[in-house]
Amino acid sequence: MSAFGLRCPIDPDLGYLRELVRLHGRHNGLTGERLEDLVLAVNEAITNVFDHGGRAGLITARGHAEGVTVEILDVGGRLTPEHLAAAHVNPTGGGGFGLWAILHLCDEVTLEQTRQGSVLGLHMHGRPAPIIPLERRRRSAGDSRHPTR
Amino acid sequence: MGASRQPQPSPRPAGMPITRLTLSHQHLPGLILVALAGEIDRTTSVRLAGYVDRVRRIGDHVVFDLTELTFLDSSGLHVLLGCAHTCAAEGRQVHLAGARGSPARLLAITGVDGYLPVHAGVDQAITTVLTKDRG
Repeated sequence: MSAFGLRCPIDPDLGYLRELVRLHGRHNGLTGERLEDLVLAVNEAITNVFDHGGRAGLITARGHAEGVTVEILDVGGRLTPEHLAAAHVNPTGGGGFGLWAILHLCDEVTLEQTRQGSVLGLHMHGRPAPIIPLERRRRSAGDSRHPTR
Repeated sequence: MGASRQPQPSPRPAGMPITRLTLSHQHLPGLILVALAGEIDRTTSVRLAGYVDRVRRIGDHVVFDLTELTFLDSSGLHVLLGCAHTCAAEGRQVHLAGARGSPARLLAITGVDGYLPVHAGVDQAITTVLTKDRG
């Protein structure tokens, strides 16, 4: 059977989109924590499109030799590399959890500006990502998962 | 979705999210236990916030039972933290109990598990709250 791609419009029905992404990720070999990491990251990206973007767009997903790539097109196109670089968490002040989670759940995050809007690419390999304690992350100057540094 | 071979979305009536969330609560002396079963995303987090506002008595600690929670996103984290801030203004605390899988991972990645007290199970959370109040 040939690999199938996923291509569907962004929909307010997040539970439904999560299930589609889960099906696709599983089909392409992701399991367990890696699969749920991808589902959560895509959920956060779609949430951002509704809360901070153009409220419309497209999700495409494809499997490849290294794993799975999901692209979220936001027709608002307001997401910039600066947003990604500024992503932080602050439990006392709230905010920032979505982008932070995306950056730390995925093996690689890319951002591309196209004529249709901004395209956030979430790339997931087959192996687990380590959880780095928050204090250590705060202290570390560079972050290899950060696409903009 | 059913037996469709292509993962293409079928037309779905607007405003009818399928994200499931069941909420229940139990009052105990000095605390309220709120059990979340299902999924929390931006379509259900508002309902959670309203529910807690409605059932929590002033002066209650809050224990969230996350044992049956299969999905939690950033909008849900905001509700949990907002509740913690409300409680803190009254000298009370929010405790999280029984988080597993993806919700536990989000709590870890965002450092919320180091900010709010986290317990393996509900019994431990309740014991901790009651012991602290007595002491």
